[in-house]
Amino acid sequence: MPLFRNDNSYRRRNSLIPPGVFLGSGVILFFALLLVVLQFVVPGFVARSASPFWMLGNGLTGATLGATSLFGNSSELTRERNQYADENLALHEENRTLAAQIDDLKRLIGTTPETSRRILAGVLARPPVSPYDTIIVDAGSTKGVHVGAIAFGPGGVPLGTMANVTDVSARIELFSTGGRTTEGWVGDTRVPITLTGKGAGVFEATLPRDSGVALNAVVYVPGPGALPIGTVVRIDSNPSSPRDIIHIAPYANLFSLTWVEIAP
Amino acid sequence: MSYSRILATILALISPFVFPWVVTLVTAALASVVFPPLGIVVGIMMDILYNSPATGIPYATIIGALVSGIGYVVHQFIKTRIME
Repeated sequence: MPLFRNDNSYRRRNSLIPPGVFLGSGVILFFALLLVVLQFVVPGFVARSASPFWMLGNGLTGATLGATSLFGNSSELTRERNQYADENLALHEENRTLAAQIDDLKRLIGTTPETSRRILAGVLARPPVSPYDTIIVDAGSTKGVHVGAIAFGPGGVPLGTMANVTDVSARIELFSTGGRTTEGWVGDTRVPITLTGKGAGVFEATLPRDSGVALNAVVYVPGPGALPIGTVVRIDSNPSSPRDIIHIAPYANLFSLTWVEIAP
Repeated sequence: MSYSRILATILALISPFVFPWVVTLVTAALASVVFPPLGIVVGIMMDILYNSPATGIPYATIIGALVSGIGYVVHQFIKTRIME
């Protein structure tokens, strides 16, 4: 055993960053730099390359849910399934009736808007995987998706607009993105409001106190006509302010979205 | 390099595609103790993948840089406390 320490090992042990960590850090920083350069030089390349990883993540999530559901109470699950089947049937019938009424009204008004075919897209990433209010879908420019196109959730609830499109994927910027403003209406009398996104599908808006808007009033955004986007769940009144703050919960649950429709 | 370091690095780099962002933050923080730059790399990845023009500010990169800084301090602290 040497009486004195080896100078080299002493220096290595007390160096600011050990050689192994230094090399690894260099490789990782190079990777980061490469990502940034690619993002600016070849826009969309990173998103296109990431699609298989998103699909893998989506598959893993689905498989995990499937595996954990095996531990559920089977009789309870059967009861729930039957209940949902009944509700689905009822909603289907109601939907058909409403569609027929809309057709009648359109004929009466004489303005039959052109019905455009929507693009069905699978969701690859959604909140909370995405820290921002964005959704990644597996349809891109090859399917006819373009920047600015509106995305709709289940039941035709508007979700947001296309912010970035590659040939195989697209990023939807939700109306509820923090700070984003969207014009809309609230209540049966269609009081105009400006919705401010608060993230996770939630909105906030201010209204004059005497506007007459009550809890559970439906909030609409412009689309083909007025499209319902959520309901008023809370109204904050401050005696020192002439305006109320209304909080709006979305109809669509962003955290469980699996498919969206895109209006080309 | 030990297997735990490799595992932490892989987990941190895969996390933005699979796990909720809070879990990604935790994995990036843990991985930053191993390799301090990993925090900022994961932040850049999150911004490239998910940030939209409306948000503008690259919050994930900023938080990643902070995580890297904290990771570096912790890394140095552990190094000086453990007898090699």
